[in-house]
Amino acid sequence: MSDNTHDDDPNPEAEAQALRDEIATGWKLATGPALEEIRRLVRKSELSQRKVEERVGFSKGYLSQLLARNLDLKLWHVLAILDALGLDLGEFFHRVYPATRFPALERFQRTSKPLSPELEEALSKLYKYGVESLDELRSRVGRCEQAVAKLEEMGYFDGRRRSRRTEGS
Amino acid sequence: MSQLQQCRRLLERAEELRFEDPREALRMAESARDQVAALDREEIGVGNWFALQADAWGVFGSALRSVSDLGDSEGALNVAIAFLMAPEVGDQGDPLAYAHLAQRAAYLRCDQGRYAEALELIDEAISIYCSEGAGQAAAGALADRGLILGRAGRKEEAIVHLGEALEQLDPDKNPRNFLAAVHNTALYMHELADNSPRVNNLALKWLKLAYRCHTLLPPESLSVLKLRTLRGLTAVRLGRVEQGIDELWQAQEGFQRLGAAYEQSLTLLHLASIYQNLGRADEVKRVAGLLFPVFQSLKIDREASVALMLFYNAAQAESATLDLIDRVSSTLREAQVRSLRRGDSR
Repeated sequence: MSDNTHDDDPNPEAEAQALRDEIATGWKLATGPALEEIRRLVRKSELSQRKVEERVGFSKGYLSQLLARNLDLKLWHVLAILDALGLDLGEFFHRVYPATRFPALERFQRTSKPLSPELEEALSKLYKYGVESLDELRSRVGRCEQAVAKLEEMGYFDGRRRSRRTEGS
Repeated sequence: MSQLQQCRRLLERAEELRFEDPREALRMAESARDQVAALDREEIGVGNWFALQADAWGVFGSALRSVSDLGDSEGALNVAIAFLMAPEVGDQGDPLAYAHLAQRAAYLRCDQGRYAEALELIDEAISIYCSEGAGQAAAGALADRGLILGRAGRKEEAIVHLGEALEQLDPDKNPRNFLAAVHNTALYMHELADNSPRVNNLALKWLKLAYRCHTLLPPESLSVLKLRTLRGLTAVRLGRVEQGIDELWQAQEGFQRLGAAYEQSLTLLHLASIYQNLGRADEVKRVAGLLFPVFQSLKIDREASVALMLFYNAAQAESATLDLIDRVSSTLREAQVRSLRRGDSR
């Protein structure tokens, strides 16, 4: 049996890159501290929300939708808003994602498996959805699982590549 | 007593109980976790509330680890980290709380056999304790570093670390860490003791010291029973065979009463080896029979069960060998590690 997922896809590299970009920008910015910081900067600015929208080229009300999380905040949104506010991108990211203080603990988080359904249930029961860092933990798991499934489907994991090579040899 | 004090007391009790009765500790930690979640955020202050949630999930995570549910232990510790690193806490979090969590995570990675990550975590904890001037906590973490190295097979290095930790640990302020460090030194010395009479003698001294240190613990506690196994093996090594055998039987009965099936199996296998060496085939046969129900309760995988079956059949035919018994022991140990890695032995 041959695995032709790869062959049917005209440009899997580009699609995988787009997916990686989406993981790196879309979900992280939409749920993480970046949105909070953008909210703070817009509030603090002398410009009205409408003025910012005009400068960026957003339609009327688009910025409110972004700040209210009705739309996903993407990296290009952040770039455009910071540009309109005349603020420095490097400073923004330094503030939002400061250099890590506890590298081993953070690596522990990154190398951990998703929460089990039992723990998910306990979290929902105990805290509902009022704690932002937990919401992020939940959504990260969900979105990462989807992304991983898609990358697997596209043959972007070593295990799949190895098995394809074995089948071909 | 206020609700807040009650929660703190419950968390402390769950943490203490982990060493004596892991299942009861888990039940208590779960109850503490639920009560802490119900505390009023505004009443106790947002920072305190988040810190307490992190603490409760940390204790719960460690309790899960104690009953070998490594998968959910990892999840619970991640929830604790999420609380501790929440934007609501900002830079106001207590550095010692991060160190405690890193220490808990290090133990978990050690149980999962991921020793490099465990060492990285424990080093982070040690560095925070040192920079915060928490000398006793740093010494306790240094002893943990010794334990991780020992479990990774680096026993000589482990003994050096444990020695350093024991120099700094105050037994009055830190009795549990002190006991653990003495216990682990005795264990690693015993394992290295085959090499020379001098090391043998030293191992014996450490074992005696460990026993003296444990006199205050209940005689049926897991650590006292493990020491009892060690004492039995040492007695056999020193030629006091019957005394050693008697110690090992008593240890295995204690493990059985505590429901510590893995430790009980290992002790029975030690007995099988000793009887085999003495040519007492009837006793080997009896021990092989006793091992069956214990293995069953461990829900051990096929490879270990096959090894036990081979040994059992050979014992019945009075043709068992030391190699065969060693094979059962090593497959049991490997099966236990696999089971811990999967985190499915709850």
